[in-house]
Amino acid sequence: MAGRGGRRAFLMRGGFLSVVIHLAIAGLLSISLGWSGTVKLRPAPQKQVEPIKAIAVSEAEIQEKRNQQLELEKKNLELKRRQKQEEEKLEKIKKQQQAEAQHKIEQAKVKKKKADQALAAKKKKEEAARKKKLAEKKEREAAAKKKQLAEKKKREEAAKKKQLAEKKKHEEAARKKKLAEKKRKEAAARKKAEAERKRKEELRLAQQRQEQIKNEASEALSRYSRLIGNKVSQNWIEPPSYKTGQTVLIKVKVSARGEVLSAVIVRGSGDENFDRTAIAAVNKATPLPIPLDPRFFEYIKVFNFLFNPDSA
Amino acid sequence: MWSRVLITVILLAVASPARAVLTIEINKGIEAGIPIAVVPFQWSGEGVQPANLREVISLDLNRSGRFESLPKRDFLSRPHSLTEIRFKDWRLLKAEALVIGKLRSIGPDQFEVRFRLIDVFKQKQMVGYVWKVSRSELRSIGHKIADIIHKELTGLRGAFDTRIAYITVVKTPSQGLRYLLQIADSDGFNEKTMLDSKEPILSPSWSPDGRILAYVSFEGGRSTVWLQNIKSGKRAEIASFEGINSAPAWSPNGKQLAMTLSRDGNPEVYVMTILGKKLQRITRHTAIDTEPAWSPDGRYLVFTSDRGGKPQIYRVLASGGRPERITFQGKYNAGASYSPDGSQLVLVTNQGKGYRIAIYDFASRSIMELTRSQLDESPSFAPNGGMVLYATDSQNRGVLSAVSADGRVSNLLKFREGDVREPDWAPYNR
Amino acid sequence: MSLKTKLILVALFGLVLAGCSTTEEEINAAEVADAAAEAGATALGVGSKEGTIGEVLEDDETADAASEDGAEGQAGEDLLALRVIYFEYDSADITAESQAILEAHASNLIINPGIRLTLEGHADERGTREYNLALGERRAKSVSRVLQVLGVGEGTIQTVSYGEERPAALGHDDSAWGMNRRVELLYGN
Repeated sequence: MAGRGGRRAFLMRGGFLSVVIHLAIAGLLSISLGWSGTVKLRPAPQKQVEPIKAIAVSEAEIQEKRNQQLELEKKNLELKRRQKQEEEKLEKIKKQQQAEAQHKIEQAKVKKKKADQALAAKKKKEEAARKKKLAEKKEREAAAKKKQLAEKKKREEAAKKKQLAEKKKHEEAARKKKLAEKKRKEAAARKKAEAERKRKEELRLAQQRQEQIKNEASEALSRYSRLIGNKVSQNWIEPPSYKTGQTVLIKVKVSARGEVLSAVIVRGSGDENFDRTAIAAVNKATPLPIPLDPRFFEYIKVFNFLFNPDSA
Repeated sequence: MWSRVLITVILLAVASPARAVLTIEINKGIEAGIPIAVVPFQWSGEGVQPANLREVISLDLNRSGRFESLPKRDFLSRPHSLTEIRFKDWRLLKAEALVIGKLRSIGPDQFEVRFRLIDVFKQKQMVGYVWKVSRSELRSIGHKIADIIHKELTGLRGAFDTRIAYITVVKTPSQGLRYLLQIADSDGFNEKTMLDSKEPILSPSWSPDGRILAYVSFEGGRSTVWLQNIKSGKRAEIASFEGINSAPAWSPNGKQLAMTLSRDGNPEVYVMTILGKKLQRITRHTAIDTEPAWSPDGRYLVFTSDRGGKPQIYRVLASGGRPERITFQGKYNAGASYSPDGSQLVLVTNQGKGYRIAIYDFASRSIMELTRSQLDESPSFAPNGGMVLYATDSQNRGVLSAVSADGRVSNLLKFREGDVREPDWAPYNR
Repeated sequence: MSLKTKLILVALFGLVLAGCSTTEEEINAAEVADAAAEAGATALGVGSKEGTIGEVLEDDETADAASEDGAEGQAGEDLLALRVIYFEYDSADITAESQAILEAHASNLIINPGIRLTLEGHADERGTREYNLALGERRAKSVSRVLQVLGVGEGTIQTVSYGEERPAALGHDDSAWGMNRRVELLYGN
């Protein structure tokens, strides 16, 4: 069957091929005839009529030959189909006969089986009754025993359960209490930590503010230092006894208005007269032109003067 | 005069780095008098007080240029003892120091002077003294007090309790001009005439011990060098050679006298021993060589010479040698003498603006004018080097003036009469 | 210095240098006559600079001649009346006009032996007294030298310096200073 199918497929393929070739030739012709414009693979029938005319004779011959061949193949196929119908008829009859025989055998087998089954059932019934009786007895005994055991177990379990429950209850209470305590403590700690953190933060901010004020104060004093220094210089009558290299460091305390409250020698020059003139200069320069912003006062109320004529 | 004021600011870390203390650096002060309050001394005795000590002290201090005695009309109180002092009163005046004292009659021509010097800012007495003296010594005590104040507040010795010598020329209706050799206290008071002559006197010069004056007198019709004892008044000619005999200058040891003689035909500098009058000629030049002055160590003589065409200052070894020219600045430099420390000369200069007193500094070789007038001459240093006394002209009258060695302060000395000239400031010894 | 002296000198220089000049014409006849007499005396004086005895004798003759001639005698006496020699600042140089005066005095000293002359040197007030004392002496000695050159014996002359101590004019200006920079010629015996 496979060979036949293949051949038919081949033929069909051949026919298809001839159509393709035909079309291809037609396409080629149409192209070779300089069908201008864009190449369109969908031939327009009207335009195809005229050019094909010239070769119409040879095309007809080919068609004739092909038709004869097709007629032959058709007859062959018809013959084969009739043969196959005959074979199939025979086969059907044979199968019918076989099925009837089989049916008779199987009916007998069923009869016998039914008889066997009835016997076995009867035996089984009796046995089952006996077994049942025994089982029931056993079961009653076991049940009683089981019941007894179960009750005991139940009692014990109940006691145990009760005890456990009690214990559990206590534990739970303790746990809960502990937990509550813990939670409370944690909350308190958190609260405390928070407060602490807040306090620290505030302190830090305050310090930061103070630091800033301090820096501003320091800067302000630096800016004013030229004025302050000028005033002291204008009041300093340089000692004629001065010797190169001598310096005097003086610590001065001022009031918020710049009045000199005290001027003390931190490091003297060794020349009493030089020291005296420096102290006098600072005192005579009162009030010193310090920055008057009250926020600054804390940071500028004490500062130093270094009398150092050599660096002039 | 006012120097520029330089200030730098530095931060010094004290104790911890976080606590930095601002330090303001003071590099320059001012040149000014120290403000000082001299309270009138309390007088207890009969009649008016025999001496105005406050005035003596104040004028001395002001004349030096190193002090500014504050006017008493500004005084809020007048304490005479420590317990009476209200320091606030004096801080307010910006007085650095306060002088208080008492003058008391304690017997016939006997007086007690009490004096205290107080540091106003330390609120402490610096010194205090008591003297018992006669009336004639009272002014001198005033000068002594001024000297003590000077020393305490400047660190340098004062020169108020010293004397000066000078020449006064007076016009008398009967005798015409008279020339007087006089001595006085450094402020011109306590004047005393050593010689009265119809002929010119010039160039008085104190011996180093302050006991003898050498000077030039024309009493014999020409210039002659004389010596005169201050106390006894006794005098003697020491140089009366042919020609001029002039410009005597004592050596620092008091054993020799440098002078100008033209006995060899031309003014030259000589050195003469006081004992034996042995002469040594120091200069040899056809030009004028005169006005010798000794260096404080006695090694050198400076003198004036016009050997270069114009009068300039030269220096030569006191033992003789080749002179070396010192001054080059200005067309006229003459009459030089050394500062007590030997680092400077005071001289008369003409830098084109008149004859002025100037300081020549050996280190910088520069001349700095101290005065501003036209005809200043005869400068001499105070024995402490702080002031220069010189002769000048005021309203067509010769007067003496004292200028501080920095040229900042000058004061005329007051004299009763005549043209005053040729001053010489005595050494410390009286 | 008087106007007359100046005019005489102008005339003198005119004659010596050119014999005739335009300035001369502006001067009246009497003055010209004076100037001529001056010129004669000066010419002789110049001759005496040679310092020979013969020329000194010529001076005698001139003096005699001068005594004979009223006009000339008057001129010589005029010069002898000038007893002060003036100087420039810080200088002891003898000017030409001073030279004429000194020549007259030299002549006078030579014809009058036994008369002595003191030369008193002075300075103006400017500068130091001691330097001025030396300057006064230098001026006196400068005058003394000229006189000696003119034939005056050394023993006849004596010098002294007063420096700035004896000003002839008071005041502190150029005219006073000019009067004080001087050597005074003082006759004595």
